[in-house]
Amino acid sequence: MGFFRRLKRSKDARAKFVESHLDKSIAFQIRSLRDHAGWTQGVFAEKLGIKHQNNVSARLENPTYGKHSLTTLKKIAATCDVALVVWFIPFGRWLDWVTGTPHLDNGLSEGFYNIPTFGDEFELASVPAEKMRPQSAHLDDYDSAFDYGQGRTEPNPAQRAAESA
Amino acid sequence: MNSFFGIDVRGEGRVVQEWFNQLTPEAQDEILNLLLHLQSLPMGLWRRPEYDPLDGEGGISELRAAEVSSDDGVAFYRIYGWKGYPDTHSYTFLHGTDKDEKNDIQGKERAKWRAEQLFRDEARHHKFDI
Repeated sequence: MGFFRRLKRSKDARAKFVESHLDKSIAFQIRSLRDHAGWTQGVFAEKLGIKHQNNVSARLENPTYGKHSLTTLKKIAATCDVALVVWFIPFGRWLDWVTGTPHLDNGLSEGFYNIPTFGDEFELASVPAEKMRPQSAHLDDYDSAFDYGQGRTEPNPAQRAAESA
Repeated sequence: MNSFFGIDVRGEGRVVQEWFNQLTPEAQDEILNLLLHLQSLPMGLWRRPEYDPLDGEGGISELRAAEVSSDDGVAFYRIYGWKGYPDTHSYTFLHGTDKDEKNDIQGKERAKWRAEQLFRDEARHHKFDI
């Protein structure tokens, strides 16, 4: 079926992919941060002011938990002395992210506050020509998430389209 | 980035790919979610509950997707495979199943047999189509 076609199926399908990926990534990042600091779950719980160390494994580092609060995440970031970024992004960017595709990041710019929906980005019929992101044929590049990004150094389809425009 | 491959067994075909293809879209999505996550995670950081190294099982290991609920109940999917084949950043699937057994002896044996076939050149790896 292909990854992009799976995303295209429905809003629910997209939401589930985003949720699952986020839940897993955040749990593994927290575990990696704790490992890097050399803390046991008990020490980590103490530093975070969490009563029971079981909550570290059962919640914070559990890839299926998915109920981390922003307050907790900020506390973890401060405890581990790292920065934290939480933002909404267009699906095209997310696809690049999860498939390991190099993406030119312009940082905080006007586009940061103008986030196109999946429909805006990919359902080309409803998008004005000047806002058309990728060339539709190139969207097939996303169909094999496991090929995409491997050893790639060239721009993604959207960037290619933008550069050639 | 890590890569995932299927196995093409002489006389049997692309067994894991065919197993995956006949799953419901929900089950396929759940497996894909798992693979997307593991794809970007260095293999040294793969851990339970999503990855089980199956110590003492001759080199095979197991990937476990989250449970999938449907009208028929809750299903649980796992894929046995070989970490580090055909190269260090690759994982080759050997056997997929929805058997919810604590110790799936039959599935593990099948995976081990297929691994042997792979190393004896009686089977080949192929690009896994998601």
